[in-house]
Amino acid sequence: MSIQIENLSYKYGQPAGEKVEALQDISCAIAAGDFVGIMGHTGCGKTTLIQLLAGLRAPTSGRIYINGEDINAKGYDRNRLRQTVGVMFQNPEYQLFATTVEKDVAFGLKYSGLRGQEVTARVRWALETMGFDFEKVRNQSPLALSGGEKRRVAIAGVIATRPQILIFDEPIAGLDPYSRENFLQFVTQMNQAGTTIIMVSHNMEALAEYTQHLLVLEKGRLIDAGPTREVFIRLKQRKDGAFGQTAAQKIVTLLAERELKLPPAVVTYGDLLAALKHELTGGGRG
Amino acid sequence: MLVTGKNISFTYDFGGAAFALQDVDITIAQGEFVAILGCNGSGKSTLVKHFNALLQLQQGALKVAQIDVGNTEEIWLLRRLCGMVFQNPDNQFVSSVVEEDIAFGLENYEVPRGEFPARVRSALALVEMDGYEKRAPNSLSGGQKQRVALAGVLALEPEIIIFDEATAMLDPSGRQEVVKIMHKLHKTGKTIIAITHYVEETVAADKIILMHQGRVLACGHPRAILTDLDLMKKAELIPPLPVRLYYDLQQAGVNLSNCPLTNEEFVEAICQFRSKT
Ligand SMILES: Nc1ncnc2c1ncn2[C@@H]1O[C@H](COP(=O)(O)OP(=O)(O)OP(=O)(O)O)[C@@H](O)[C@H]1O
Ligand SMILES: Nc1ncnc2c1ncn2[C@@H]1O[C@H](COP(=O)(O)OP(=O)(O)OP(=O)(O)O)[C@@H](O)[C@H]1O
Ligand SMILES: [Mg+2]
Ligand SMILES: [Mg+2]
Repeated sequence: MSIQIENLSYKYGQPAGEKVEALQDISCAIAAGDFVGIMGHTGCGKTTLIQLLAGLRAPTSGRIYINGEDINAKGYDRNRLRQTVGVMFQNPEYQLFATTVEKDVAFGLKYSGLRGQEVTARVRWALETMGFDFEKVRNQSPLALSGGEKRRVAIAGVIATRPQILIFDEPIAGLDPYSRENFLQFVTQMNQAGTTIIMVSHNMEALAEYTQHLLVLEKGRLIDAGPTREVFIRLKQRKDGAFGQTAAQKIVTLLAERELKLPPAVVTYGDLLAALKHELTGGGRG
Repeated sequence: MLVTGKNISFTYDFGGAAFALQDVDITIAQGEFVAILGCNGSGKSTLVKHFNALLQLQQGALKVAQIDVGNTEEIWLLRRLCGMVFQNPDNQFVSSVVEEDIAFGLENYEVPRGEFPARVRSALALVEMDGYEKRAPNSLSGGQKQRVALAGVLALEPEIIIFDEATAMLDPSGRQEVVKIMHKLHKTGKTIIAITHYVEETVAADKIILMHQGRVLACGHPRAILTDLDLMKKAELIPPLPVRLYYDLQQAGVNLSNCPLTNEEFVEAICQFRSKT
């Protein structure tokens, strides 16, 4: 499922009359089967963009096409949009409302055509995928979970419907390291099986290691877009240093100040380890 | 000791067998910077919610600033003494205007009215949210909400400040800012308790409490905890990047003299290694 965004703008109305321009003239394309990361400072418009993609807000101007169809056109089938695009929002805790974890995850499957045992099987799959013991957790109240556990239940609810486009707003905030890796690896598998993934994150390592393309927003504008590695390299070259660099890039900068120059393409942990091995075990000298 | 807990056990599941905390002993000194690390569900939030009596002590003993947390008459004093910023800022807003929301907290704790404007202003300035006084909290982005929630707690000027994943929704520079604020408050003598899943935010703590399955797995200096691969594995955590690099380089035959905790230490160790060979 491809997505086309054309000259998209969005303004929030304020009670005081002034308007917050949350998105300004954004154009980009996301190919079917891509894994796209969205990065940018607090308040730059990431969540707003996702709400527009999910059809929860209508653009102030501009258009969004999913598989060539304008999702805000009159007569566009909203139910189909809901089945095509699965979204996990930033505070998924508020998406949890059923009396048990099982019912909560099953809720999204209401319109899926699955019945009885099929629903149970799918819910089990989703919860187990998110690292839960299904039998242990199925009858618990979603409110009776730790912060990270709630988040994982919310993710299970979104993946259970197996939509063609999966959008996550800060999915790994609050997850412990193992759950983080587990989630990212799972999403990568979904992606390899053809699902288009869009992930907003403040975690530079996660973006660098897992996404294929990056969109960078600043104050409502799209200021960079492209293959992930290239974008990270470009952002590092910005003089203001305003944007997130990976931990590996930060170490490269510190090493450069001490006269040890590593290749500019070092972005991930693996890159850095390989470059250091090469440099320190003789390969880089003489 | 500012906080002394002995044999604290807690279950949400009355009558059941599932313990969220089990036999936890804990001491925190006045002015200490303590980080609590542990995987999801390990009991971190449950533990700190005991400090200001958000959760009632079921078993064991816990004193905070000489106050027995079970003493319900002292509960307001305890809450004013011990401020807490949660992982879900939305739960913390009561008013539809940012400045009123902060003032509401002050009113609750009987701060003199005359002090309100100055306290609200300086708390918002500290979290770099000046200019947002009149906004509705629910019209803010995730990270902005988290900053406002933090300001609400800072305005109360508590002696002990608990950050329960207060940086989770922030961008890298915002996270760095909040960590700086924590250290700034620490320098002024406040006791800081920080829960985070960003392990690099704990390297400068005085002490790390490592939790796992409701128990304290280890407690000690960040260097002792974070460089111990077996311990980290047992806790189901991943050590900071410089530590991982140190061990991975060792595998490749590059032996750095000391295991570094921070990027700066790592770079220093690399430079030393190069000058030796
Ligand atoms: N309901 C709303 N009413 C008015 N303004 C809003 C509303 N929601 C968001 N905004 C404003 O729109 C801008 C973009 O907000 P958005 O939530 O999209 O940011 P974000 O990039 O997701 O930030 P974060 O990383 O903090 O979650 C911000 O300046 C925010 O204050
Ligand atoms: N309100 C509640 N009712 C019942 N059980 C709960 C409740 N809150 C937490 N628990 C359970 O208690 C245990 C400890 O939870 P706690 O919230 O203290 O974990 P945590 O270390 O803060 O985790 P996280 O990193 O996910 O926030 C978990 O097994 C959790 O499922
Ligand atoms: Mg957001
Ligand atoms: Mg917690």
